[in-house]
Amino acid sequence: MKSKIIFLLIIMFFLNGLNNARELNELAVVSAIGIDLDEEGNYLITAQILNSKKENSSGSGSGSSSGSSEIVVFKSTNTSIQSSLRHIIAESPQKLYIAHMELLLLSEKVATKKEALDILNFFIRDNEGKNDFTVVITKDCTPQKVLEITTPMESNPAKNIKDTIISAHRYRGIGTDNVLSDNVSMFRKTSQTPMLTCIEIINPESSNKEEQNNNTKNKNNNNNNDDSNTDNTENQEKSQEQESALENLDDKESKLSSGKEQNIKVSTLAFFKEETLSGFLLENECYIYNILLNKAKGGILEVGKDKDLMVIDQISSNTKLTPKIENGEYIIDIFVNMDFNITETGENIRFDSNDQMKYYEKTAEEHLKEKIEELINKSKNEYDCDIFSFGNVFYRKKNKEYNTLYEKYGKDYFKYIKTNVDVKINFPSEGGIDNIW
Amino acid sequence: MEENKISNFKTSEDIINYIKNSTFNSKDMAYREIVIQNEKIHIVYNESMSDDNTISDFVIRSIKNSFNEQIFEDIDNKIYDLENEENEDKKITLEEKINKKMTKLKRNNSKEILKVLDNLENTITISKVKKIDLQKEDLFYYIFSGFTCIIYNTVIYVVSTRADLDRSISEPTSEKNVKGPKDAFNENYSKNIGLIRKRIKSEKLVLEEEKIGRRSKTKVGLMYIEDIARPRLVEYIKEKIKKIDIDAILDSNYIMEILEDSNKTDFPTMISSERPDLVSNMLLQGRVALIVENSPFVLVLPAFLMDFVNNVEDYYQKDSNVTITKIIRYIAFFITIFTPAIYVALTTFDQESIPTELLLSFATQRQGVPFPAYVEAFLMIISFEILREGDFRIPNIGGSTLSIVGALILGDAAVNAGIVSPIMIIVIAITTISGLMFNDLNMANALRVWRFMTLIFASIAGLVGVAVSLVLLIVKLASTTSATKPYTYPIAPLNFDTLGKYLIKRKNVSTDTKRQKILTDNLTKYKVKE
Repeated sequence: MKSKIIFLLIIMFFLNGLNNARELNELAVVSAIGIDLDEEGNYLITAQILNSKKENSSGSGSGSSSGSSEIVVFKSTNTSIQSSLRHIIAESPQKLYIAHMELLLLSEKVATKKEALDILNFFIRDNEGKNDFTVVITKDCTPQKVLEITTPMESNPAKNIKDTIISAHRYRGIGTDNVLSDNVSMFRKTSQTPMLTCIEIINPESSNKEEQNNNTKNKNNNNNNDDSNTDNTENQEKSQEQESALENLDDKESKLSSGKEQNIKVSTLAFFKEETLSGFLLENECYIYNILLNKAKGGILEVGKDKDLMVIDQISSNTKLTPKIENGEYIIDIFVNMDFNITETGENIRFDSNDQMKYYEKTAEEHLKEKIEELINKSKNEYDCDIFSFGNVFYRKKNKEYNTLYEKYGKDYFKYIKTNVDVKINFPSEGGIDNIW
Repeated sequence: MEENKISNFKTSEDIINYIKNSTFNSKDMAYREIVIQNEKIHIVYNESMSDDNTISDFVIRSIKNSFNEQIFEDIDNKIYDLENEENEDKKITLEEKINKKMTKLKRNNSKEILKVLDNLENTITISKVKKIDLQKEDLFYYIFSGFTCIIYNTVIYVVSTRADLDRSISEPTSEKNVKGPKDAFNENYSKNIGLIRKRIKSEKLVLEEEKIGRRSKTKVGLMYIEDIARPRLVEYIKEKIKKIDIDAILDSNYIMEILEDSNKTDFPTMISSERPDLVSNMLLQGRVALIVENSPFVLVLPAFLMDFVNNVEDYYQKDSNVTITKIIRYIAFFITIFTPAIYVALTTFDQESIPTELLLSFATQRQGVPFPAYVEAFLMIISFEILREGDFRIPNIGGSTLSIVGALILGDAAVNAGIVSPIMIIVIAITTISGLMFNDLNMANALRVWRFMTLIFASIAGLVGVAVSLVLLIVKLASTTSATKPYTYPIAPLNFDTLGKYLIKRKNVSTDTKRQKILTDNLTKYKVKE
């Protein structure tokens, strides 16, 4: 009798779980949500839903499914994110299920006009959601457009974008691999500057417009940094080509056959000031940024030009930031220790002796040091933002001094922090070529 | 009443009548009279249990021969006497003389016949002869065991003339193996004992016997190795067996159920095997075997959960390779219990735990299936169980038909008809295939019970339910005992020594020198020679 009562209690305790039961085909699996603002300041929500409709197996044997059937995009406008999402239910037969969301796209507009924490608020609070999706800024385009693009390589476009971001971070050092939970903690700390990855659309409309777009990009670059010479833009274009080549390696044939297809690429990092978007880094600056924050997992550096060109590929990177105070001055010692593989060299470069190796290591060190210092100066003068979160270094390691620093200089405290950059680069080997001829 | 009757028996006719009355004139009872020198010797046997040839060749002939010998011997003596007497009545022929003498002899006949019968034990060419006392022993047990009764006056001799009603030793049907011995127990009690004795030729291998069942009078043999098995364990089992008062024992499972009474568990707490090599192995570990007449399954106890997961065949394969087999078995153990439950829990409650691609593929497959996932799972499991149960019962000829129908219905047609999703077929397939790794039927059935349990819990509370059912399973297993020994040994009473030896790895025979302490005090197993 006793056991029966206990059993009944257990059953009663767990039967309420039935409320929560949902069959898989009752779910609309949201892969990505885009947030934008319309003219009236309302949220414009775009939800990309993965289509789980059964394909007819009795169809043609070719098996190539048309891309459009794999995702469904719903749009809705309302005063809050939650209400806009609920409005989508009026269109969709199934409830939106955001636990499998991979991406949250913020348009430039919404990121500049609204505070980021307010936007992320819903996703943090919602009990269904997971905290491991990536927050991304759509640069020069709207989230709606990005979400409507289907990718030929992956049936889940959002997953494709996320993978692109991760691989771009891992092999090129651009962007970050932060997820929502990292972002939120960054936004909540006053001493830290949140950085979000940006994505762009390649071939937004047609080939003509693409050229225009390139031009505008160049213009942008010129506007942004007057000091940088044309090398930078050249480099950038080069890397862009590399990037697109990487992404579309297998798509090229399909591209050739079906004209220019739209695709998405990872471009740069956007930095936030006081929770709103305040600017973008240049693409080649991202790698330097990642090195300084000890987040660089991979990337290449080009040292010298033409015949003296040396391309080196990162093996490992270790950066230490140590804050100190000398004579009332706030100083951060930056020590960068990196290992590189030599992957490509110009004809003038020879690694015949150890001394030569040392010499080239030194040139690479100087090159990197120059770039780091350049970017630090740029952040102080031009970007007007503590992108490296130097404040946070003091906040963590010398908390009292951070408070005095903050009181003394106010929000622009980072401009008064001096840096000593010390770079150590090692080439463990000169590469595979060893007296073959 | 009967006993009074028995004591009143004066002649053999009384006994015959008693037998006839007691058996209600069963038609398979055979009665014969042999008249020797006007004295009747009765032979009674059961036709269906006895071998006619043996009776006519050995019993009747032996009796007649021995009488003839005795008589002729006597007669020869008498003739010699007669000739020596040189009687005046020489007209009387020799034969007449003999007849005359014979009548004289008749008076002494009854005594002589008894003498001969007593002598039968030595002269008869059948090994099993016994004089029985009606008061103490049950005549009918002998008759229906295939003995022939030789009745003279109130003296009864029984001679074993059992017909061979058993099949010969064949390969095990329920416990197949690739390597190792391939003989199996059958329904013959003494053959079964022989199969064990054949492997352990030691005087220490003790057989104790008990007849259980008021009607069936089934022999139950208790076997153990005297200097390995703990006397306490043997006593414990003996006492339990002695207490049994049941009308019939038809299979060893009867004994198993009676001995298991204190355990309210679904898992078998005794090994029931038809392999003599397994039983011998277990006996050498210090366990006790119960051989039940007419059952090809010998019981061994105590048994641990581990013994059902492990297989004696492991000992016939290279030891280092067995590790992977064992790990796969443990995985299969959990797969067969938990897969449908976890699938239902994940797809109806905890979708966020499934990788997105898989979720999408599941969702696509579930399109158009009208039932919730757990109904689907129940449908599939039940239809599989029907198929399995049918497969057990169907004659071999129909087996292939059944499997084709089953495969088509459970596989393709159900999916095409939109009753179940293809992924559910995969889930049930892997579940049942994993379940087939455990060849003990009781074990397989216990796993099935828990498969349903976990599925019910999962369909109510998702992964939490699976966790709760896992806890219940562990509690249930840990509270089970087998002949007072903890069932989950060596995990629940943790024993690292045994764990290392048997759980994942099978120790090489040459380094596995000690027996398990939980079963025996005599630990030396392998002696390393210097």
